[in-house]
Amino acid sequence: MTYPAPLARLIQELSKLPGIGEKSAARLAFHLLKGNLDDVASLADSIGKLREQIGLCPQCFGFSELVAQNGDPPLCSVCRNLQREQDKICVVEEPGDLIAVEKSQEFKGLYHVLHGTISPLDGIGPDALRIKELLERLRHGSIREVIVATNPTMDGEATALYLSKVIKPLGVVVTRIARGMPMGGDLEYIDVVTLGKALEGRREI
Amino acid sequence: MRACLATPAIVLRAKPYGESDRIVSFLTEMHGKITGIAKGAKRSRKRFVNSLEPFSLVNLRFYERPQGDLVFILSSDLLFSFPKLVTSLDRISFASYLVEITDGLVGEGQEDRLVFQHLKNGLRYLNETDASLRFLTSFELKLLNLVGYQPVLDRCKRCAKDRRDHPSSRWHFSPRDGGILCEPCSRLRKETLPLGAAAVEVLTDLQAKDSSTPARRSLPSSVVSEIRSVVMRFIQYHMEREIKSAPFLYRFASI
Ligand SMILES: [Zn+2]
Ligand SMILES: [Zn+2]
Repeated sequence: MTYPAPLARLIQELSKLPGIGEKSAARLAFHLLKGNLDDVASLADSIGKLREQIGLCPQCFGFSELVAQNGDPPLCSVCRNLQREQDKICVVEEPGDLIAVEKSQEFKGLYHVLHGTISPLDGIGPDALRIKELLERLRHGSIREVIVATNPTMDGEATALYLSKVIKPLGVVVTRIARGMPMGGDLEYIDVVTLGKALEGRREI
Repeated sequence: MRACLATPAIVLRAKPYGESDRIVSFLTEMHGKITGIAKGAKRSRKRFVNSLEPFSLVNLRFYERPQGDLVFILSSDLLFSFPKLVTSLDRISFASYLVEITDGLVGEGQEDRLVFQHLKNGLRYLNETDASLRFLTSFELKLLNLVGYQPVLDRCKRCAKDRRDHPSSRWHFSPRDGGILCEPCSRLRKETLPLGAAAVEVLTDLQAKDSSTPARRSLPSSVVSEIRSVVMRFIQYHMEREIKSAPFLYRFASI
């Protein structure tokens, strides 16, 4: 027996999601089909609005809520918050890592999201990342310290070394979060205590 | 139940697969190059702790699956991580290049202990010593030799004219022919690279010796650049794709 077309389509869409195979997709689809109509409508609405209402912050390239309608996307809540320490930038690979560092509550400064790492084996060089924009911020702003919180992987280390090389000549101190975390680890999956410790024990590179 | 196999291995590359798995390629000592899936690699600190990063020397346990090319990786225990390889961009670039060309020149499942030893020695050398152009070129030539692509450097690959009988003539290298060509023969080929007598001499010398022979005689930059483009192009010809880490060598390593 084949699924009715709308159901088949939903199953196909759901199974594109990470970690969802066809069986799980079918289970979710059946759940939605039987579930409360309001819940389903709310889910559909929130999915629809996700891309409309969230964009990248033009300063740090983390996620930002696009509340303004007049063209330019607004700064994210961290960049807007003048209570935060304005002389420190924590550099992370992905927006998810920014959120992970925020959860540790150990860091009160600003962020910069690179959107990737340098990767010699994949042929990804510094120019493919938001490094130009970071250097621009450093030239204009009053930043005194850059904390490199890339993952402790080979690519993360390569990125950290490169950042240190290009940032130091600007007279900005570059530190690297400590190896509270194992090589090959991933910020997103590290518990908050370990991540907090790693931030606390950062060192100059 | 299939038998579980165990072997020392070097991690060549790893990429995320889905939410928590990784697909990892290894050069193993006992079973050649294999690629497998490490289920739960992102979260499982027990089975894969620290041990799926490129350049790591590990003890790999896996079993082959009845269908598909991917083996199932049971565990990977770190034997040695070559920790200094990630302490400078120069070393990262060199190590990435060694791993990438080895990966590119070795076919899946061809058992070859010598290639495994060669890569292991190369990474160990880089971990302990500052790399040089000489080391790099020796590594490349020996690797080419081990995988059966040793370039012919003593005579024209086409007409067999002996190089020693014509010491002053211009030579060219043809990746397709796998060796040097004399001037007249090179005109019959489209894709050849110039290789002066001095450069051929250096390559011949390196081919004959072990890479650990220390000779820090510096070479004229014209010879260096001829050697670089010839060897890289030849490797690329056999890999049938570009060497992604090559630009990093030029940019970050002093070659
Ligand atoms: Zn921002
Ligand atoms: Zn000839």
